Amino acid sequence: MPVIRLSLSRIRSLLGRDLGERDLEKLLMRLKSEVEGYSEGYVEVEVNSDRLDMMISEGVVRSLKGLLGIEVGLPIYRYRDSWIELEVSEVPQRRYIAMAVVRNINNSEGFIEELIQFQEKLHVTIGRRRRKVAIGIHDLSKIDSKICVYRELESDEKLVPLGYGRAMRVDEMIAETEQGRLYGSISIRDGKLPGIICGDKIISVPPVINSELTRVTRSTRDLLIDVTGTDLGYVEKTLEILSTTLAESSSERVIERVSIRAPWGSGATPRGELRRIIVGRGYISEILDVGGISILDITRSLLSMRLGVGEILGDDVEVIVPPYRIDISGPIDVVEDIAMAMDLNSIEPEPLAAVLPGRPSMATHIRRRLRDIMIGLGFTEVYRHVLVSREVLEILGYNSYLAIKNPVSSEMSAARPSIIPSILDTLKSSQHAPKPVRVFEIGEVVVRDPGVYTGWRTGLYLAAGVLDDSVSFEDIQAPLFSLIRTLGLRPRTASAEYPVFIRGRSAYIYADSHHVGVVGEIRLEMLRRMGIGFPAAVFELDLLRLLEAIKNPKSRRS
Amino acid sequence: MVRIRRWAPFSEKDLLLSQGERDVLRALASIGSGDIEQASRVSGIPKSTIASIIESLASKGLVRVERRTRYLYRATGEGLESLRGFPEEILLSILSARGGEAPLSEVEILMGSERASIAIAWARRRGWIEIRGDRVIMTGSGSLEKYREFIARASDGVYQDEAGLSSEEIQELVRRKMIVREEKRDILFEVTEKGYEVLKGLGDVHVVSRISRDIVSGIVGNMIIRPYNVEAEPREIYPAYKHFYVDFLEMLRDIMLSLGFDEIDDSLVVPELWNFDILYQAQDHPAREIHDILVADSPPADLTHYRDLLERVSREHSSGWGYSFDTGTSSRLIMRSQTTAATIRYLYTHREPPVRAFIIGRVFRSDVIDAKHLPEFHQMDGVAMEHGMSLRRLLGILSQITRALGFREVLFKPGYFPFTEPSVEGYVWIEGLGYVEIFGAGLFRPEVLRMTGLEHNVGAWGMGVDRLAMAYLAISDIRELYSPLIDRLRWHRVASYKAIP
Repeated sequence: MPVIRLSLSRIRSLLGRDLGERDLEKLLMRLKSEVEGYSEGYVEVEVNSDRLDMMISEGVVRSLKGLLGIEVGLPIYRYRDSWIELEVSEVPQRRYIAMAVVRNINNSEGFIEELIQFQEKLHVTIGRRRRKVAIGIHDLSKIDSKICVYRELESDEKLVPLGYGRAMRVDEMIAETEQGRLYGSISIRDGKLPGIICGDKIISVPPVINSELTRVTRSTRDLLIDVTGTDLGYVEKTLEILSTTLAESSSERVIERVSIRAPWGSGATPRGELRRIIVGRGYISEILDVGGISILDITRSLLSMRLGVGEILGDDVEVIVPPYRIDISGPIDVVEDIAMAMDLNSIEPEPLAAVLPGRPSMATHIRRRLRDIMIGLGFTEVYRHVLVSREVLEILGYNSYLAIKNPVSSEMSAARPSIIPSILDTLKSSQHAPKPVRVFEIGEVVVRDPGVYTGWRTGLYLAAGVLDDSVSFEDIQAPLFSLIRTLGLRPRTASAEYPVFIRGRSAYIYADSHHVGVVGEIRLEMLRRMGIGFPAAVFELDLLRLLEAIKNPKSRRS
Repeated sequence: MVRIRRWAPFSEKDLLLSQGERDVLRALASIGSGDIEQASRVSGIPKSTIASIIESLASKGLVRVERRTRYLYRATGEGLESLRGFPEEILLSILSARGGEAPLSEVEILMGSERASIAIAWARRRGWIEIRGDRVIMTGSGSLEKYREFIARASDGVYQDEAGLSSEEIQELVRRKMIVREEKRDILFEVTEKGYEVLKGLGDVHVVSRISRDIVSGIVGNMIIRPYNVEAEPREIYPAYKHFYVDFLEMLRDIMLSLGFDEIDDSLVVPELWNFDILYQAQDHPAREIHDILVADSPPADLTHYRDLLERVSREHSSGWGYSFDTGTSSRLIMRSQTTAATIRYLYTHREPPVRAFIIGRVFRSDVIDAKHLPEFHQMDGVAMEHGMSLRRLLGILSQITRALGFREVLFKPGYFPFTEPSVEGYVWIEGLGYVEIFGAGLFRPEVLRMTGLEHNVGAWGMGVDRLAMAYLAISDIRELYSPLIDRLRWHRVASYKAIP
């Protein structure tokens, strides 16, 4: 979740009050945000990604005012028509655009810093790293034309990119600027990028970089905001967040709509539409269950969360949602806001009714019994990962296993089809411990199974290993037989080859005639390749098959 | 491995002897004194063993020992040669045969020049000859019989005191390399008064060291049990241990079972349908990108059995998120990144309330490997579906679980999860760490309920189990939970679960 750095003095001055740090923390907690730390006049806040409007002090303060009662209910913005007109051509690689103007912002110390942060956080979250949505913010006073155009640029058109001292061709800009290298490939088509041109000057090349011409400085008073992207809904929502939140920084709260003529239609943005959602008192009660919540309580809560209240008909409340609350899509979202307004810790949790104990899973049943028997046989329990090294699996002769396409490390590049690799890895790390080393593990494996709809079955296996100065087959066979007998089954081993065992010292295990596993002494070259300097012997059991054997004792066959 | 002597005396006074020591003492007393040869012979115990027993008896004052070194002379090959006659004796016989004198050159030819010079030197020394010019003249005679007799005896070895020769005579033979001297260390023993006394007192008592069946059943008669040095340390052995992390998971399991939740199980490899789509996570959501999940290298799942579900899911996503839903993405196989994939699948096949279910299982993410993160770790997920499920009841369940875990109180905070609304985060106070978030929870969104086909509200929560385990077990590195080092497992103190206030 995004972490933003906000100026404490900005927060206090926007709030009009000297809020203490403890109080700020508590209030932010109620708004799903968490204070991470402080540093020289700044506070680091982890903001939930569903409240993008709170990625700047203006947005945070707007919410705080509601909780503190300083300003409640719908925030009011004044919409006017701007003298800017936007003509949109076909830009297939980045189709949609919307623009807005915010007048007379309070551009005091720290505003620009936070503005840049706001923009970047939006880019990373809703913008999906600028692919879906990108934002440009401009100093309106530096634009001397009424008409702005959004079209594809020719590669030889020129601009002075923001932060560079000279004019560059568009293709030069892509190759030579950092932003060009990072974002130049997102919206390129036949070598052409989109551009916003006002008058005859390029003011922006989305999603790459703005022009130095319209740079926002300390003396900027009016902002022109552009949002471009591949999804009209997201573009417009982003513009709503930006326009309303930045308007909070001006005392007049004026937002000017830019008229737009585009292939998808004509109109003016931002719409500033207020959505209306009807929420029933019964529904709120059902979800929250706080015992008789009144219409007054509901109303108070809504207003403190900066939501508006329209008509109240009986038990139904019409909730008015401001345009920047894109996280609210239905009644349930409104109910959550009411819960937040109420402070969750003031709700008396309902005590759990007395019930019968739950049932453990089959896996737990069998695991518990086997665990105790293995400990009783003197084997120490180990617990390792399911992800193992692909290379090790190949060395040990396993060729059917689930590989990971994007492993984090080669040590964890495949899901183990057997616990034997984990046991051998354990023996390798423990080979210099006092002997004999006797270990076991009960855990999951992933095995190929064409009968399962995913093609893989998750199994539960038990594997045990013995390592000593000298090891014989009997050293592993004796505890194995003891285990099976203790479960009330008849053990038998039948000579059979298995890749990881020495030929002639390898067998299948049967419990009451059910084939349940394998046992044997580990091949010398595999021990050597794994870096194990002592002989070792291992057995492995498929616990689900063992369970079947316990449940279905077959008649004794000779 | 060296075995430390464990047998101890009762006290200074009681010199309790082992059966072996007693037998030897008795044997020694039969001859009273002697050397180690005799001791071995009379006791029937080999010399190598009896020496240490005699020393042991000596340390108890029952026998006096004296160590002496004797010289033993042995004939050499040269010495044995001279049994046929010393060189100077042969010289005399040559001279006698020639009437008492012979030319030097002739002697040299007959004896060989080297032997001749030895013979002449010694004969002269003995005063048997004179050299005049080039002639050797016999002037006297003698016999070296006693030398030869000594050498003959020395072929088996003769002690100095039995030699019968003076030291000068012996030295002569040594110088002439006819005999060599060996040093022999010898032990002489003599049974003391005390030794005789102890023998008298022991009588027929049988001294018992290791207790055997015969002794228990009383077959052996009169006996004394030797005391044992109970204060010495024994050899080191180790029990087999249960794994401390598995114990912790079992404890969690028992807590949930006792609260009335049934345990469920599910596959580690799932299609994205269960891990994301049915949980209303948008297909272009950043968390679904390849750098957050582990993708299986395997063909997509066969979702024909879930056609109806896919339709519902597709409709919800398209209308709610406003994009075109891709069933291909839905069927892509991944290692599950949250255990909610398991609980939602359980609800899909158990749609009638009441349902209380939980799972403690492995999940996988594309995460760095460091002290706090691993690509594979454990989560616990739980769901409760019943009539009247509400936020308040959910908070009640969560309070109960945290109390059962040993925390006195929990702090709730509004949260955000893609599949729940309202959402809640729970924090508990852990000494040394402050407020720590231990679970996220909420009521499943209406979209999720619709897709799954549920008609009642469901409270759901998820907990990161590894972090909780680390706090409980006072472990600071997550990798220790899965350690391969058996020593660490052997020495981990199982009783080290921290009681968390």
